[in-house]
Amino acid sequence: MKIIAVYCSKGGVGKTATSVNLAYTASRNGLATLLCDLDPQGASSFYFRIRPKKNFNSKKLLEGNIRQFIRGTDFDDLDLLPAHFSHRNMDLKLDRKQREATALRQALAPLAEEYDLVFLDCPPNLTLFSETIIASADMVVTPVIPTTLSMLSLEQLLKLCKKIDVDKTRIHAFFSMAEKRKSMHLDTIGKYRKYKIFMKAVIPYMAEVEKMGITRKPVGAVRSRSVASLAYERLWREVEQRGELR
Amino acid sequence: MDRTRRDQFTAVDGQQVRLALQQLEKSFEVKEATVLSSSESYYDTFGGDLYAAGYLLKKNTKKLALVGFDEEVIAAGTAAEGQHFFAGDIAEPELQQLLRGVAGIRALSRICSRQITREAYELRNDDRKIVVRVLYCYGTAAAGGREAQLQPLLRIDEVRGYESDFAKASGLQADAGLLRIQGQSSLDLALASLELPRPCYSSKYALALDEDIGLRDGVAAIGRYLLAGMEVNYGGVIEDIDSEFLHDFRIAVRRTRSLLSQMKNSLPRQQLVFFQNEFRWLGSVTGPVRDLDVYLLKKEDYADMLPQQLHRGLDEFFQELERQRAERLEIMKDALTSGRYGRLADEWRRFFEDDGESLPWPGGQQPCRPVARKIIRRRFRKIMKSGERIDAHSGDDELHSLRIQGKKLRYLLEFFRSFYAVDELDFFHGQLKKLQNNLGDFNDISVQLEMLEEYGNGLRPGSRRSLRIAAAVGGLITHLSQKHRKVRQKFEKTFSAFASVKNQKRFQKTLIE
Repeated sequence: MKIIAVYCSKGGVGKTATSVNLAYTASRNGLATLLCDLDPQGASSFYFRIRPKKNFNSKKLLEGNIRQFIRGTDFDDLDLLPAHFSHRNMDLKLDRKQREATALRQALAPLAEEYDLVFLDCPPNLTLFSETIIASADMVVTPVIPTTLSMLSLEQLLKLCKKIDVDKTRIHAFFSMAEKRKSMHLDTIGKYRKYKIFMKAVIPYMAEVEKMGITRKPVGAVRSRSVASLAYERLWREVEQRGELR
Repeated sequence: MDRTRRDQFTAVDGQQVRLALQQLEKSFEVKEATVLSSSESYYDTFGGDLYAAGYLLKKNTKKLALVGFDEEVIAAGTAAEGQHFFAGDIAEPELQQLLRGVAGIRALSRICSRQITREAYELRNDDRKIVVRVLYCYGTAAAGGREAQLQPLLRIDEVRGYESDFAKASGLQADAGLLRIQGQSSLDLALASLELPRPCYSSKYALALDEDIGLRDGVAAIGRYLLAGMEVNYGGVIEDIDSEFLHDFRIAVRRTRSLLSQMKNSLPRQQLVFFQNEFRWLGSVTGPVRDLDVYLLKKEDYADMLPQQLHRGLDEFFQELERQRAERLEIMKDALTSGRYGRLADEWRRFFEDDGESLPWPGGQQPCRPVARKIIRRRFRKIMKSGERIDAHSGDDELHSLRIQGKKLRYLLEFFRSFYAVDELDFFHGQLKKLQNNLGDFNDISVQLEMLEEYGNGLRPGSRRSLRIAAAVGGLITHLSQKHRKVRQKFEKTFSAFASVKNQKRFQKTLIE
């Protein structure tokens, strides 16, 4: 079982769209996939129309008491651990043992026989829990809008890796919400895409992705050959290759 | 991923299902997702080995799917057209391996087919999230010219994490009068609608005689059982479905011949001679095809014995064997569909149906048990004596003769198993089997060598093809001769183990006292 965190400390960069669409694409490719919605805002859960069970909370998540709270999505081979409002206080809930860097990996370990892949849709912050997420993941996929602020978030992420002694080759960035008509986007992509940390796939800014709020489905489930769906398919192929997921 | 629950219900008719579906609308938004019609056939071996292992093999046009009783696909592949095919014909390695593991060399034959329509429904909650899935199946089943309506089936599938919605949907079906069914596969339901049994056959001898049965009744029961064994395989032999029909047919013939010869002193003389002659004839007309089958089944083993350079010659050798088999098969089929065979089967049946008035048996009324035990005792002593006489200088024929004696004893012990303490008999059987395996291997190789030598000597020189075949046959002879020596060397050790003082004491107690 491989754990892929979709993380960026900056909000609004497309983490949830990436998590939902990559998890969906992975499951279409035959991998038993679990998406964990760790963001208390619960956007992934909203997209899949899934509410958490009544007795679920962040404490249970950290204790590894997860299995009974997982719910099936409308798609084969794709389950979801829904978000919970209590996740907003996750840092405070970390007890001494759970402050260990790989606490989240340990919490997910009992699911190894059930799933090939776990995606973590992470909250946009830079906290102790973020450190746990990064240290627990086999791969950190980070969306970067081709703007100065987003590039700054990537730098912060690399700095954090150094601080917590995580190999930075675990970080895989890609340009997200890129707009061709914006010269700044084009310049930034042109300048940085040569770096190994960046995957080749670029996810453009697309109305189709925004409409997920209305359709409440992954883009591929609305139209499997749409531009957005194919873009996420390309991104998935690269993630699959870089993470040696097959 | 975690197993979710599934409930299945049957209904009297489609209308009852529609009403049950309407009930669901009270608690859920019911959305019809897909309607698919398809036809599919079920395949299994003659003995139903796949079913016994928990598998169903379904074929839809050329697509094959091996599924569990829960209909989840375990492996998939493609198959050729036709009523029968073999695991080895399947190109997809995973499916081929799974089927080989269960079906072995037996053909996979069509059991029945279904023309089925599946209506899938999604039950959604207030968020329009799918919380339960429902599948309604209906259609017809057909087999051997018979056709019947399938009983309508409604399947309720849990979506993980929505346990209470599943319980509610399932409960509503029960309330609507649908009948919950458990442990029945889709094949069971199709066969039930056709009023046909599931394939079920074993070549293992399984008749148990009553302890106090009379001699005549006992022999008649065994004879009838063996005749049934021949008849059940007869169709497969004539149709040439796979090699095992003939193999099992011949085993029934051999057991019958053994029964006749072991019981010769108790059977009416005139009938005995007739049946002994006729069953000998049956053995001889079916022998050549079986002999060739044995070689053809060894094709892969033979290929492993030879270097790649000799494989072309080996292939040509096997083409020749296949040609010979086709010829022999026609001769055998002629014999088995002849009046002579029909007469034998009729006479044999009539022999046992007779109440004893028109065909008196001397001593037919005496109890079977002491007679059987006496014959077994005698046979056992004979084996011990013959085995002890064999040493490193003894000829091959002495080992072959011991093997035949062992086989006769084994058949007798199968026929009269219920006259002994089962645990002790099983112990003896186990020991005898080890000895028989050694003798069987020895005989197998002897026969192969003999045939290969004969074939090699008969090759006409001059063509490149003959040269290639001769090289392959020569290679096989070299390899098999070494093996033959090794198996022969093992005999003394194997027999000593079989006839150890400890074993002897135990055998005496089981078979003699």
